[in-house]
Amino acid sequence: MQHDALGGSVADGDTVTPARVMGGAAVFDFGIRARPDAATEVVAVTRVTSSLDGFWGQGVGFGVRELYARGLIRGVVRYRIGDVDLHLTPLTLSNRNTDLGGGHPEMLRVWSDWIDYDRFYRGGMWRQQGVDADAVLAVRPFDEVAIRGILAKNRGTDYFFTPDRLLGAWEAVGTRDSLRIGYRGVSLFDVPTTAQFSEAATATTVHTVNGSGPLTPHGSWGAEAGISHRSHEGLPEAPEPATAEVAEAWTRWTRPAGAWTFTVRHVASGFRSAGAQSRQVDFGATAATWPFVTNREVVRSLTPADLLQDGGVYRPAIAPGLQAYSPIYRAVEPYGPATPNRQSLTAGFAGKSVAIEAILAQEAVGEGIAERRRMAALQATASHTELLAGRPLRIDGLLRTERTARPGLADLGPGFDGIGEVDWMNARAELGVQWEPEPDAALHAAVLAVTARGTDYLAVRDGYDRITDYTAFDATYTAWLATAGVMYRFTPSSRLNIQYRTQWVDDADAPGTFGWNQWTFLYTLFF
Amino acid sequence: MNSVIQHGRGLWAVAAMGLLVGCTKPEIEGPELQDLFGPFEVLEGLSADRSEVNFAAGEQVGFTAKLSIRTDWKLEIIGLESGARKVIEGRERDIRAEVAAWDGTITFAPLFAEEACATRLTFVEFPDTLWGDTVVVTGLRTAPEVALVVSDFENPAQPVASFTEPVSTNLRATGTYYQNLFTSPPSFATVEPAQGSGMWIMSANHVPANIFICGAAIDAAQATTSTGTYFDFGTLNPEHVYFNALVYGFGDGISRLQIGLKEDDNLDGTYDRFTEGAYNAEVPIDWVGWKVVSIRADAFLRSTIGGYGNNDATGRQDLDRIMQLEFLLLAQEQTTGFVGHGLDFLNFTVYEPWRP
Repeated sequence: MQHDALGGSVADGDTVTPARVMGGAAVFDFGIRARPDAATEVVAVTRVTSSLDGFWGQGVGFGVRELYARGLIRGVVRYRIGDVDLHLTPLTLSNRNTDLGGGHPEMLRVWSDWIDYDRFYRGGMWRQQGVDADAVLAVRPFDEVAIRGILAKNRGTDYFFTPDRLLGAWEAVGTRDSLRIGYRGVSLFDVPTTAQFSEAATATTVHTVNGSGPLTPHGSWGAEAGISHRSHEGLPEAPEPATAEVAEAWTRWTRPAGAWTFTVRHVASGFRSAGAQSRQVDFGATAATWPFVTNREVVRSLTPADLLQDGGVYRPAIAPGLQAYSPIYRAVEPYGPATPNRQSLTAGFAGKSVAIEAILAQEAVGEGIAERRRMAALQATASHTELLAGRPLRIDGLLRTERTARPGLADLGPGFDGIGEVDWMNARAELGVQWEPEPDAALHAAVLAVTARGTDYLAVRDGYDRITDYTAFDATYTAWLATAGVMYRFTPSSRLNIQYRTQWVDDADAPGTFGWNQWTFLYTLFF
Repeated sequence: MNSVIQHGRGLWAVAAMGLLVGCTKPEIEGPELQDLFGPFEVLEGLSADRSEVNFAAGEQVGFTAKLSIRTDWKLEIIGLESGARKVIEGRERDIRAEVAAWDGTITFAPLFAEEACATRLTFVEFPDTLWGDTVVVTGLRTAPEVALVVSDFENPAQPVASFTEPVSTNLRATGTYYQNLFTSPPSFATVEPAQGSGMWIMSANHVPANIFICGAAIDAAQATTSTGTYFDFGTLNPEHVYFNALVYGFGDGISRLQIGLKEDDNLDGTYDRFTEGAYNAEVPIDWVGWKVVSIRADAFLRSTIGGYGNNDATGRQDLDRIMQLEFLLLAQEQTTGFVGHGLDFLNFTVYEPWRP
């Protein structure tokens, strides 16, 4: 349950937008697990939703949230049919392209964990409908070879102009001692015969091979390389079929203080991997709370608070094309490790209470100009625990900052100087404190700040992902979010969170500063 | 196992080297920022590389100009006595003879005479007009041959089957034709045949319900250059055959010309629209004057209209079974008012389009 109050200069003179709104829902996910025989299991999870205003049955929703069967055929082939959760590698099939990312303090993680659960994002998985089967074979010279096949429905047909779209994936990984060598392919393809009046079809396929193994007792290596291929049929304006390459290699060294990882990666500008490049946040979506502001009913841009707790702005499906992103949150690798047109060197350290990742990157080819963007990103998270008044106190901190630069045009005459120049910085900082005065109670406080400044040129792409234009994106953006609250644990499986949150956003591109105060009451029970 | 590990190290090293080697590519992705955000300026005016040209001797004229940004440009060469026009279009920043050369051909009829020609360069996105050097034609190029002429509309006895749905003009005209444009107050367009004294005119004052206005057809057996029941191009390769015509546009912007090739797939001497294929190509007419139109045979696509050639008994385009050429006047959907076009010198060429 939440109660929201609008503030900031954006509310001045606004006689249309309600200054206060209240909402909420009770959500009950009920799972049934049946075992028809020793080798088969059927799982069905139903969801009953009752909105805060749903008196006497109004506003009540009932639906099947999950339904799948899984089992073992002749003790050899493991399968799952129905809802399947898919993940292969970061370059082929992976769902980690978020914007606020992980590493939140406990108080903010309440919300990000809920979105991961609600949208089936956990573990970097993509939730699809289909069949997933795998088996392990003994094949020389390997100790074993694991093979896997996946076929899932990505989009349904409208029977007239939009054909069905399927996701197919296959994988074979051989293991001998600690050495692993694998091959995999992922294809997102249309089935044109499923739409009566359309012969159009697009297929995007990725093939990669990878390997990993030990170097020394404390060191290991890994590499993955492959190609993507995209082709179109029945689309007269479509580009010719295109192939592009990707390659990465990494090495990891474990020391008593933690593990160091170094990664070098090249992703060609034409590399397309739908399963790895699809993004979670839809920046074209409207927010659930105050989607429009001012008397002119301007669409409100998504803020950090929306990204934290509004599940409606998160996409449920893999998309074939590169989706729009906001450089306010991610500019260096907006499509994750598979971000096209990147050459990067990444160094990471993961210790017990500190984790640091630094990325140095540049474009593989210039975007609209011979000069290439050069980028750097640094993310550090740290946590510290000690006793305060004899009770545990935990402090979590996160800092992420990115910088992008590119010289503009020069020596082309008056009027050209500076065109194309990029000078962009975005940063996010989070700090959280949690103290447990009682074994079942905790006091929380957290602050999140997002800022972005400078100029970048965002590519405008057509339906085939070709760049057709650029938008000069100037931003002076600052957002602060501060929250405090209590958590009480009734039992090990049930707890109540009461939070007060205030957010303030100053966006030079918006009609005014945007203030948002919110009370939330979140009761969760797992059984 | 040690050897495997050693191989693993080697693989890692090779992969890393491969990454480093593959790190430099000079090309640019997407349109250039210079063209999208830079100011438009003419850095060098339009000029021709010769002031006189003898096309009969195989000479050409090359044109040059230099712009600050890449933008859509149109070079026109206009015969000051004949009114003939040649249009060359491009999108270069540095216009050179490789992309702007004139070999004496026309885009809009009539043909060039031995005359002085004005040259000008205009731009789609900018109002500027650059007038260039005047070029004097001292010798005319030899008229290209065609494989066969379907009709030049000079022979009043040539059978042309015409059919009409709404009230329309659909006739062979000779000499000067005054076309009612159905405006208020009334206005008329004066149309002279592109060549000779005959042409075919189709026009109407249509309402939104009418898309098909009228049509006409000429059997292969009745073509000016008849090759029997079926057109004989000497090749069955659709990539080597071109339909060509001079098409008059009135400037209404909503008229469409559809050309149809009707096949007698079972070779019984008749065309059955329910079971035999018709292959069509459509040209939106957005110009004023007589324009040379060429369509390669493989651009003709099987009819999608049920009962009108959408079923092809052989399942393929058969250039040796075309027994009729059909030409239609269509109007764009949801439009009203005057539509029309004129046709002259319908012909086929082989290996290259007709370039008078």
